[in-house]
Amino acid sequence: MNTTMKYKQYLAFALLLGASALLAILCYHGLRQDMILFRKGEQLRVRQDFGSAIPLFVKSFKLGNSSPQLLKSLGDAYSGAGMPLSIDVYRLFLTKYPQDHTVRIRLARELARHGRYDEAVLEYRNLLGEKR
Amino acid sequence: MTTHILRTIYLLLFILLIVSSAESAESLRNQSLGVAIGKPSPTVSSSDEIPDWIARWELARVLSHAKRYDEAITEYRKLLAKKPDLHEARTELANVMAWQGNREGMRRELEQLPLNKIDDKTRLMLAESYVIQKEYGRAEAIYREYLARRADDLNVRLKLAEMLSWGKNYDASLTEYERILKVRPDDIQVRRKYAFVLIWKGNMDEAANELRKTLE
Repeated sequence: MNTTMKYKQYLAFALLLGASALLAILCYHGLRQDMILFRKGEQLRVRQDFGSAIPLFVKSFKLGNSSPQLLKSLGDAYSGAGMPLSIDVYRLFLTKYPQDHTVRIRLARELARHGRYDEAVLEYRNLLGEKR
Repeated sequence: MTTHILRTIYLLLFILLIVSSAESAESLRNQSLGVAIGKPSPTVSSSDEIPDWIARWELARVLSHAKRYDEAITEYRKLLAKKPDLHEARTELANVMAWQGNREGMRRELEQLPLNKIDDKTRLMLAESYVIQKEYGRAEAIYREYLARRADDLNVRLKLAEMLSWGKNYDASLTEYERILKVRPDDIQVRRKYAFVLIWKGNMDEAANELRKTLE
């Protein structure tokens, strides 16, 4: 009898733990919707499905995710899709992180790609520490 | 009673552990990407990832696309001062000089390169610059090497034929014209040029025949 009681207690305890884990996961999904969208977008971007990744990144951004990784990924996705919006996103990133050379060179390349040579030259010079 | 309190505390601790592990998993994910969410950080950038010479090379290319040739040449020079063995960049510099009309400069740059490092288009430009300088022997060597690989390129063969005639090497020139006419017998312009070479060689009757064919 005593043993049965014990097992029942353990079972209840296990159920409680399971429920709390489930609750934690649900809470995370509810509270960090932006991160989930970002991750899904990242998976699509890596698969070079830029057209599908962009709306997810944009939604994540609208939900308040303005992480540098999101901005980089959004810029890269626009760039992959051949859309000049990449320039605006990289510029937005650089207003926050002006020292990030990896993004500055992406900006310079995008400017050059879209025929905005003079602006591209300025970015390259900035990158080389030759601001004019 | 104490056991119940302890169990409740353990349970709460466990729930906290699960919640915090979900959070830390997220933060670890972002740390692995080298960034901290939402915090401007000077460590985000890493200038080491893009060597200066790559940026300078791209800058030189953009300047040349923008037709800012003088600036492009300056950047190529700076680049080549650091990377003298960057054959592709030297070829590009030579091309920029050619676009600028500086054939002598182009030649100087290309002559620093092993011939097998120059692409065909640039190699033919070099040959043309030799033709302009009346250095027919050097141009012929390039044309012949190219035609050995691309025998079907009749435009280059025509250039060779013309150049040989200017160098008074009439027999060789006529041979090249004949090869072209074998493939393009109805090309009036080529046949007329062929006839002129015959005239320069003194074969007037043959030349008259060829010219007659172009009038039929």
